[in-house]
Amino acid sequence: MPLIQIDVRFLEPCKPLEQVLAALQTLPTGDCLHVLHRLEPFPLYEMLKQQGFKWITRSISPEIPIELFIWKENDSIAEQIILTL
Amino acid sequence: MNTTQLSLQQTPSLHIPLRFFLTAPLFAILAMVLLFLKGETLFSNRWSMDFLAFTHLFTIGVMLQIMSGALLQLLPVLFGVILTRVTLWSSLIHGSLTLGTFLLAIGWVLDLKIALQISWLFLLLGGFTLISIVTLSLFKSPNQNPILTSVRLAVIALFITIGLGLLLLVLFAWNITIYNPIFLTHLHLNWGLLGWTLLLVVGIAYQVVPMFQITPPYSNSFSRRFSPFLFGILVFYTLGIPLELVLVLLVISFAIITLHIQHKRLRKLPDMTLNFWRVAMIGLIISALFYLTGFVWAFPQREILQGILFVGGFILPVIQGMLYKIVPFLVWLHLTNLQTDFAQKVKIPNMKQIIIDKWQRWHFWLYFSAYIMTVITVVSPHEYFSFLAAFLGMIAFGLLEYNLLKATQIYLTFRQRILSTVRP
Repeated sequence: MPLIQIDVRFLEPCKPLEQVLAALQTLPTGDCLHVLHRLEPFPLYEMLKQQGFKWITRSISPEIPIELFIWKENDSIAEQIILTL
Repeated sequence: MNTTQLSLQQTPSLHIPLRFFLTAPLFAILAMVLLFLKGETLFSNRWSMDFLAFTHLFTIGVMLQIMSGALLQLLPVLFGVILTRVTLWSSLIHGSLTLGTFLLAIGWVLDLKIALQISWLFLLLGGFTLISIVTLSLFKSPNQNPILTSVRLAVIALFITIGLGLLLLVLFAWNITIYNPIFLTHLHLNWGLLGWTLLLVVGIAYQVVPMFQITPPYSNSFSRRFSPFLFGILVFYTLGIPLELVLVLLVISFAIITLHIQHKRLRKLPDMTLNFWRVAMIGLIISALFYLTGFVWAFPQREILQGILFVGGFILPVIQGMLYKIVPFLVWLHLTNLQTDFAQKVKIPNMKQIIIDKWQRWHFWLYFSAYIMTVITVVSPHEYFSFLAAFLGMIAFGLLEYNLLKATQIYLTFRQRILSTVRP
């Protein structure tokens, strides 16, 4: 499954949110958006819900404080794979 | 972890923080009008009613207004803390604080006891409604982090500050004499400035400095310990054990660490908020060092100067700088959310287009000129200096109001534009 990665760690607000929303516009079914972030983007979550996306947030290392995996709500293939990561 | 605590439907509307933010500069202008009318004599006695009015126009009229607005909006947006019936409560808080502050200042300047007595009721209502709403939400929140710890301690300090302030106001407005009100005044002042204000600034700094200034985060060992330690020092002070040197070192450590992470910021772009914050941190260090000189250097206006160095040199620059990030961010966020709701394509202005850099820069220089002139007026009293300080201050805060009004206008214009795309 293709993992489309965007790194928004070094961008100032509001660019991280803008870039994530723009990337989601063209996200194909079966694919997942992998976002590297510095802070947990609370304002993004409700927008994701409204637009029909699911997500997982993880904190893995000081270099990548937050990573998000976002996929389409009805995309069971992407969801299965993401949940096994 | 799938975090779903936040619901933008439960996020307060933008008009809630904006009404607090737009009211604050008006109180600052009122304080400057008072300085203009009273001249350098305003700073001749710390206990004069005019000076009490001047200080409270800033501490309640500006600082508490802005911090209330910021808390009510940022707790849901940044930390997923849910506030219930926020429109109703925030209207009550805003109205009560605004009327209470105005009547308090009028009561002191015109020596009207009835105005002070009515202000007491409004401040009681506004202050304790704010504390109750924020406390309930903060303690309900499942999140545990140094930011929320700091904000929680700040709210406890606010409770103590307002409680003591209302007690002192009762004594003054109803002519009640008690033993040692001076000690209560010192407690009120220290819990207000070092407790509520500093703890809140520190808590918000943990979030907004890395987020908006693209710096590395504050180290965990520092951010976990600083606020509980500062709170502990204030408790010791209240019990009659002043740990002044430790306090000064602690405060300076926050300023130096903030300057250090700002120096190591990941993207070195010019930014007015950064300038406000850097000058504020230097102002905090100067204020702390000036406090230390009190052991060897005494002069009549020393306490007034100490207050002006702390409030004018540190707190006001921090909150004004913060406004220049928070307001454009909230305008952008609310517009983006509105656009998402209606799935329309209106090009939303980015943060830099919402409050233009040029006017922020003008405000920055005008504010610091007014601040320096105020310090000069205290050190070397002369009516020309006080008039100049008041004049520059009025323009500076007028410009702040203009910048915030422009942001509001942009929000309303684009909101209308987005909504008009879906209306028949």
